[in-house]
Amino acid sequence: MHTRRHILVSLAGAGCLAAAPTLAQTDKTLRLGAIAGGAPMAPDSPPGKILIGALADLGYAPGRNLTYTALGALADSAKLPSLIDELTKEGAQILVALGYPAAAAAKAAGVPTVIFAGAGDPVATGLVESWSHPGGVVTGISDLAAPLTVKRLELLKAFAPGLKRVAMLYNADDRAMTLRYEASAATAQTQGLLVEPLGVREPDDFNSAFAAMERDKPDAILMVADALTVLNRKRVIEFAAAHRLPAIYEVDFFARDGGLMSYGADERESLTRAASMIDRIFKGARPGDIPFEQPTKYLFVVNLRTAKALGLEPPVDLLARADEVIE
Amino acid sequence: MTLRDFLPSLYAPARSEASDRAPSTARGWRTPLAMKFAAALIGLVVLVLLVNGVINTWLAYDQIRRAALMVEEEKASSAAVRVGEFLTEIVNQLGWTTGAEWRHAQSAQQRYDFVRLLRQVPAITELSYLDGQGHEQIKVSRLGTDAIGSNKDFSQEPRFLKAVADKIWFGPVEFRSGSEPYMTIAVAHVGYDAGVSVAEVNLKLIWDVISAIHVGETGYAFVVGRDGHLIAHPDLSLVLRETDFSNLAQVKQALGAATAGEPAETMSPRVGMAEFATGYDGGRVLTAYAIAPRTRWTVFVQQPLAEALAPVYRSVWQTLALLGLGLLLALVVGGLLARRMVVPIDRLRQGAERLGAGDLSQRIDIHTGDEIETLADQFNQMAGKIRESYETLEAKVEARTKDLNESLQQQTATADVLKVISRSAFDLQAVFDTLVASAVELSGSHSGAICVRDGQIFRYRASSGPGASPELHNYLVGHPANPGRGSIVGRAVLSRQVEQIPDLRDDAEYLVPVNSKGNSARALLGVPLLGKDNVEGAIVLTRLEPGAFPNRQIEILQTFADQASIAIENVRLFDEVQARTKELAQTIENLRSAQDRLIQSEKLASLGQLTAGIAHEIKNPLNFVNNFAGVSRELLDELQELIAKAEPDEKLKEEIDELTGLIEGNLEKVVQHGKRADSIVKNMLLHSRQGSGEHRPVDLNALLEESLNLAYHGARAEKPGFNITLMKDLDPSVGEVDLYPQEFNRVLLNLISNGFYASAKRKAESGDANFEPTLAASTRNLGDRVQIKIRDNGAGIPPDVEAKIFNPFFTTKPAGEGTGLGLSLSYDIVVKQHRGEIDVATSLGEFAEFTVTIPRSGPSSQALRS
Repeated sequence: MHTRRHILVSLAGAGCLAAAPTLAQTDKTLRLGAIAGGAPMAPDSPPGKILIGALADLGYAPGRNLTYTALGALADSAKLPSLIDELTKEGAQILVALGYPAAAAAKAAGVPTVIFAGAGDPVATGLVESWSHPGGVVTGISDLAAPLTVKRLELLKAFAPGLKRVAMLYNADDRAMTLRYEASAATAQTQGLLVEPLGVREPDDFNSAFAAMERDKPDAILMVADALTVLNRKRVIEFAAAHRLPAIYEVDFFARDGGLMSYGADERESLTRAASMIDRIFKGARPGDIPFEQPTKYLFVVNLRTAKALGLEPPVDLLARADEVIE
Repeated sequence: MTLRDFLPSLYAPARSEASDRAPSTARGWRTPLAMKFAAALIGLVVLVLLVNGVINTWLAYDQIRRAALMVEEEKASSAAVRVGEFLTEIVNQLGWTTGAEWRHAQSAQQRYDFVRLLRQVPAITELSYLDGQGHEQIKVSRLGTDAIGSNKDFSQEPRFLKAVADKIWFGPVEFRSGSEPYMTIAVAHVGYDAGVSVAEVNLKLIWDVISAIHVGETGYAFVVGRDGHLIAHPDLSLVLRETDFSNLAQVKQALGAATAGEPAETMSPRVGMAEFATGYDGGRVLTAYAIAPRTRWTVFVQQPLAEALAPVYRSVWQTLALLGLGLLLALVVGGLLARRMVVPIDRLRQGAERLGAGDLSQRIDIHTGDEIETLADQFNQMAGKIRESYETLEAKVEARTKDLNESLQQQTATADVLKVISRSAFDLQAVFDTLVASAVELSGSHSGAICVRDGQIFRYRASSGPGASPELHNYLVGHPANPGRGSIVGRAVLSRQVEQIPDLRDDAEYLVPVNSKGNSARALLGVPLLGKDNVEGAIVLTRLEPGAFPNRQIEILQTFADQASIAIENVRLFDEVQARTKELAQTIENLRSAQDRLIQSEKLASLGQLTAGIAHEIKNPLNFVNNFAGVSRELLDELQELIAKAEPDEKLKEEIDELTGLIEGNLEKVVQHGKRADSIVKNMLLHSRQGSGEHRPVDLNALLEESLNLAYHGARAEKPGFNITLMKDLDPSVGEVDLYPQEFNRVLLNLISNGFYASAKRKAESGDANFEPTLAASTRNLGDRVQIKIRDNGAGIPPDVEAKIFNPFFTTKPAGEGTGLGLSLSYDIVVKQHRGEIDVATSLGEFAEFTVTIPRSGPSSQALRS
C-alpha cells in the first residue's frame, strides 16, 4: 500500500529533522589589538604567550574566534595614536595595553582598553575615575608600581646594606613613572637612601644617563621598567654588571636576562586577569563597570649567577623571600 | 505528501468510491467507523499518557524540589565549610608562629619564619607580631616596607585585645581603595602575655575557593560579610565594587540569623533553610545559606530556579514529548488498524449497496479470515439466491405477461367490438359482422359465422374469416339451420350449450357436406345466443386442425355470443319501446282532442245556456216593452183624438202637437229598439241552440247546399228586396266528412249570411244598379282534408278589422243587426271542435273569401296544426 510507505517516509523525515545537529554559533570573533609603548607584544613574546594562553583558557583560539594584532610604539609615544588608529582600522574592538602611555592614548582614542601593566595608580594618573568603578573605556589591573618601588628599594637595601645612593632610571615622559619616582623618593628618605632620578626619554638619553652614572657612581640602580627601558634593558644590565652595581628591576624577565633581582606583580596573574576582563568586555560588559584590580601575587626573582658575578652574597632571609632563584 | 495530507487518507480509505455511487449516504452526519476507532484509541492513549505524565511530574516536582533544597543546603554547608577552611588554614599557618617558644626565638629567625609564612600563604599580604603589650615588633609585608621593632602601639586595637581575649580574632572586612577586600586575623600566642600574630589577609584569594564551588551547572556560591557586603563572589567585580547584598530578602534573613546564635567557636556551619528567592540579578533562584563559624560570614549558594527545577521541567517536557509521540503513534497505529478493519467493512458495505441497487452479478471479495469474510460469503450466497429467484421470477413474469397480453388483446378486441356495437346500437347487421370478424380474428380461426333465429329456423346473418368463401356463404344462406344434431348451429340451439365437433370427419351426426362449397374446416365450435326466454341463434368458429378448441377461444366466443344476444335483445326491446311510445303518443293526442272538444262543448253548452237563459229572461221584459210601447201608441192616438175633440187653441194645440209628436217619436224609438233587442235575442237564441254533440260522416256538398238554401231563403224572408247570385263549385270527390252536422251547419250559415250581408251592403252603398252581389261557394277534396270556400264580392275587409274579425262580440254591422258572435263561434267550431282551420282572404273593395279546411276524419284525426 502506498499509504503505508508514506507513513514510514514521513516518520523518517520527522526523525531526521529532530536529529539535525544544531550548529553552535559563536559567530563573533574577538578582535584584540595589543598596543605597547615599547616592543609589541607579539604572540611569541613572553607576555604575548601568556595572554594568548589565558585567552585560550577562556575559549578563544587564534584563527578561530580570535584575531590578535600587536603593535608597539618602540618607545616613541608620539606614534601611539596612529598605531591605535591602525589597530582599530584593522578591526580591533578591544585593546590590551602595556604601559601608561599606551593606555592613555587608547583612552584618548575611546577604544575599550585593558591595561595589564604599567598603570600604577590609575586613579592618580587619571586613567580611571575610581578603582571600583573605572567609568571610562579603560580598565585593567594595576602593577602597584608606586608602593612596589618602595619595596624594591627595601629589597635593594636588604641586598646591599650599605646602600646609600640609588639611581633611578625612568621614563620622564611617563607620568606614572613620575609618580613612582616621587613615591620612592619619599620612602627612600625614611630609609636613609638617596634616590637620584635619571630620566630618559629616548634611547640616546641612556648614554647620557650612563655617563651621569659613571661620573657619579651610585650604589645601586633601580630601573623602572617601561617601554623605553625595557628596550634598552640589555644596556642597563650590562652597565650594571660592568660596574658591579646591584640592580633591581620590576619585571621578572629582567632577572632572567641577567639582572640581579626583580620584584613585581606576577605577570601571569596580571595577564590572566586582563584576559578575563577582555573576555567580559567582549561579552558585553562595559570597561567602566569592571573594577580596576590590584594584584595578589608578587614575584621576587633573584639571579644568583649575577649575584656571584657581582661578588655579592644575598642574605638568607632575602633568599627565603625569593619566589624564584636563578642559578 | 506531508503527514498531514496522509492522515486523512488513512481514515477515509474508500470514501471517493462510495461517494460516486451513493452520495446521499456517504456524506452527511455519519462519522466513519475508522474515525470512531481512531478517536477512541487516541483518546485512550492520550488520557493514559496525560494522567501518567501529570502524576509523574507532580511527584517529580515534589521530589526534585525537596532534593534540590536538600542539595542546596548541603552545598551551602560545604561551601561554608570551605570558606571556613580557608580561614582556618590561615589561622593554622599563623599558628606556626604562635607556639610558646617562638617569642623567645631570635629576631632574625622570627623574621625568617614570617617571611616563610608570607611565602607559604599567598593570601597574607602582611604579617606582624605584637608583643605581650601590644607593641609591634616585627612587620613583614609584601607591599609595604618591613619594620623591625617599630614598637607601634596596637594595645588598644581589637586585633590585640580581642585576640588576647578570644585567642583568635577575625577582623571586619574592609575594602581598600574602595575595592580590595582585606581582613585582619589575629592569633594570640600560647602563653601568658605572649603576644599576637596578626595577618593582613587579601580576601580576593577566597575567590578561588568560592569560584570552585559549583552548584549544578550555573549555580554558585558567594559570601556575604556581617554587614551584608559581598566578600567573595565568582564575579570578582561585584566584590571589588563593594556590592551590598543586604537588600536581598534571603540575605537579610541570614544576617539576622547570623547575628544571633552560637558563639564563634563552633566549627560546623549553621545552615539556614533553603528557599526560593530572587537573586541579585533579579532571576528566581533556589538558595540556601550557611553561616560560617568564627567569622559569622554567611555563605550563600544559589542555583537558578530553572536549573534547580530543570528535572521537573524536563519531566514535563518528557511527558509532553511522550504524549506527542504517543499521540502520533496512536494516530498512525490507530489509522492502520482502523484501515485494516474498516477496509473490509467498507467493501462489505459497497457490496451491500450494489446488491441493494440491484446489481446481483458482483461478488464481494474479502479474505481477512475472520467474521467479516464469513459475512461477505453470506452476502454472496444471498446475492446468488436472489439472482436465481429473480431469474425464476422473471421467467414467471414473462409467462404471465404473455398471458396478460393475450387477455388484454382479447379485452381490447372485445371492447372495440362493444364500442362498435354500442355505436351502431340498432344496426344488428353491423353488430353481427363485427362480432364474427372479431371472433375469427381473435381466435385465429379458419372461419366464423353467426346464425339468428327467424321464426323457427336460424338464418346465417354474417360470416368472416379466411375460410368464409362466397360459395360457403351462399350455401349457408340458402340452407338455414334447424335445431338438431345435423349442424353445429343446430346442436348449439338444441342443447343451449357450447358444442364442439373436434373432427367433423369423425362425427357421424354432422350433416353439412364436408369439403363442399369451400368448407375445409375440420374442427367446429358453436356457442348459442341465449335470449331472455329463447335461443336466438349461435355463433360458430371453425378450424383447419382437428381437435378441441382451447378454453380461451371458447371463452371469447361466449363473450361475443353474449354480446350478440344482448344486441338482439336490445333491438327487440327498442322496437317494443318505440311501438309503445307511438301508442302512448296517439293516446295522448286523442285524449287531448277529446279534452278540447269537451271544453268546447262545455263552453258552447255554457254559452248556449247563458244566452238561452238571458234570452229567455229578456224575452219577457222585452215583450212587456214592446207591448206597452204598442199600447202606448194606441193610447196616444186616442189622446190625439180626444184633444182634437177638445179643440184647443192654436198655441196649445201646437204645444200639444209638439208634445204628442215627441211622445210618438219616443214611442217609435222604444218600439224600434225593442224590435232590435228582440232580434238580438232571437239571434242569440239562434246561436245558442245546442248541438247534439255527435259527430258523424256527412256529405259535405249536401250540407253546403242545404246551408246555402237555408241562408238564401232566410235572407229573402228578412229583406224582401234581397237578391244575390249564388255560384257553386262543389268537388264531387269530397264525399263524406266526419263532423258535427249541426255545428258545422251553423258555421256555413254564418259565413254565407255574412257574405250575403257584405254583398248586399256593397250594392246598397254603391248605388250601382249594375252591381250584382255574388256569393261563391266551393268545396275541394285535399285527400285527408276537405276545403270549403265562401267568397262574396262585398267591400272587403279592412286590415284592422281583419285582425279582429274572429273576436267575440266584434261586429261591423250596425247596432241591432249583429251580435258579433258569429265568426267567433264559427272559429271555435271549426278549429277546436273539428280541428280544422279557417282563414280569410280579402281585397278591399273587391271581395272577401273565407276558407274552411277540416280533416276528413274529423275530430278523431290528428290536428292539422302541429
